[in-house]
Amino acid sequence: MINYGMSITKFGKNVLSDTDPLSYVFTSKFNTLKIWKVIERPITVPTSGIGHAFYTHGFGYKPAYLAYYQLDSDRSNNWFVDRTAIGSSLGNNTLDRRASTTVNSDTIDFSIEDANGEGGYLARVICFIFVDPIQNIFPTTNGIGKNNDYGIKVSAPGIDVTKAKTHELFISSKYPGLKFHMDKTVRLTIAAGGTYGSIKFEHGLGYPPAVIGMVEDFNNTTLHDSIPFGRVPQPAAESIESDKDFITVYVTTIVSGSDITYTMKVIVFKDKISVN
Amino acid sequence: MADTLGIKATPPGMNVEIVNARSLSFSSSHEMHKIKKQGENQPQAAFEVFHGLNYWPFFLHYRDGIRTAGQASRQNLKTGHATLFTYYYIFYERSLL
Repeated sequence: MINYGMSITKFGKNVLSDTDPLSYVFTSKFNTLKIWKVIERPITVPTSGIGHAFYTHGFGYKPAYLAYYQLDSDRSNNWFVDRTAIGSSLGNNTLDRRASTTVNSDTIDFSIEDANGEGGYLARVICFIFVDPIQNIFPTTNGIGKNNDYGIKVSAPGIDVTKAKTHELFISSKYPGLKFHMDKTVRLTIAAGGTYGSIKFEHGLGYPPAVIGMVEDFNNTTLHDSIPFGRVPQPAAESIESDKDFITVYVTTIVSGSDITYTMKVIVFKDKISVN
Repeated sequence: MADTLGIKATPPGMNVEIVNARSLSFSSSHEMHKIKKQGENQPQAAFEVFHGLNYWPFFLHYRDGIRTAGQASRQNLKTGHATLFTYYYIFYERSLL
């Protein structure tokens, strides 16, 4: 039971008595990721080396983020999750097309390389930058500074909501949260000797949505890894692609000796991969 | 709008009566990921954070500012690196059942 703040339970669950956090649509008892801004940057992918784009957020701390990369000039509105490593033909196991993001306390560095020498085109990245820090920060850190004084706000326990800095709020109607659309469990078997495969499902939104995913570790099923997972020299790699109709999960097996089944779960959000 | 029931809020400048579901700040129609635990680990190899959920949760894991895999068991998140700081967000929402 949560007896203070603001809580909404799912249909059929009693907000006055239910103690399971999973019964709640949201509750001010628990923090949520809040989107500060969605930004887009072009990246020129060179034929050799790494192409970069930078963005200055100026928070004074490292914020959480989710970045999505357009990795092929012919697929202008298809977006791969951050830290993807995938074959240039989006199927082979060379893992030569790679995207990566590094956040620092004031800037974010987006990069793409094509180790197969097939660069020479203009790619794009779209990044959800969250208000919420990934690092521990000093109480004196201002971050984004004072919030506006209207809308719905709930601060972290022990923080006066009228004086709270933006990153000290659990809920603020000024900043959108990621809103759940659907989840899907998919299984993909790569036969012995095979090197890659993909599986897709429809999401029904009509625009490319933000996604995150998890995969059951094929070496140890008691462990689950977050996707994207792996790049050389690890034995497998997974990535997720989002377009206006489908979510496609790619698996690349770098070392293949027997049939391997990959079990993955993808969460699709309502939030569009777009700056608009 | 997706529906007209429940509590909805928009960012500044948007009309809550006509905005698409994806543009709402929050909506009681759409579940939000609730954070169980967030933290930072100083460089330390093979470090594990206890989450105690007794199921596999969704999580986000960053190593020195780069989003990386991390590994969750039903009780812990394997994080940590010998030379780099690691950061994580563990959610209440389940990964695979």
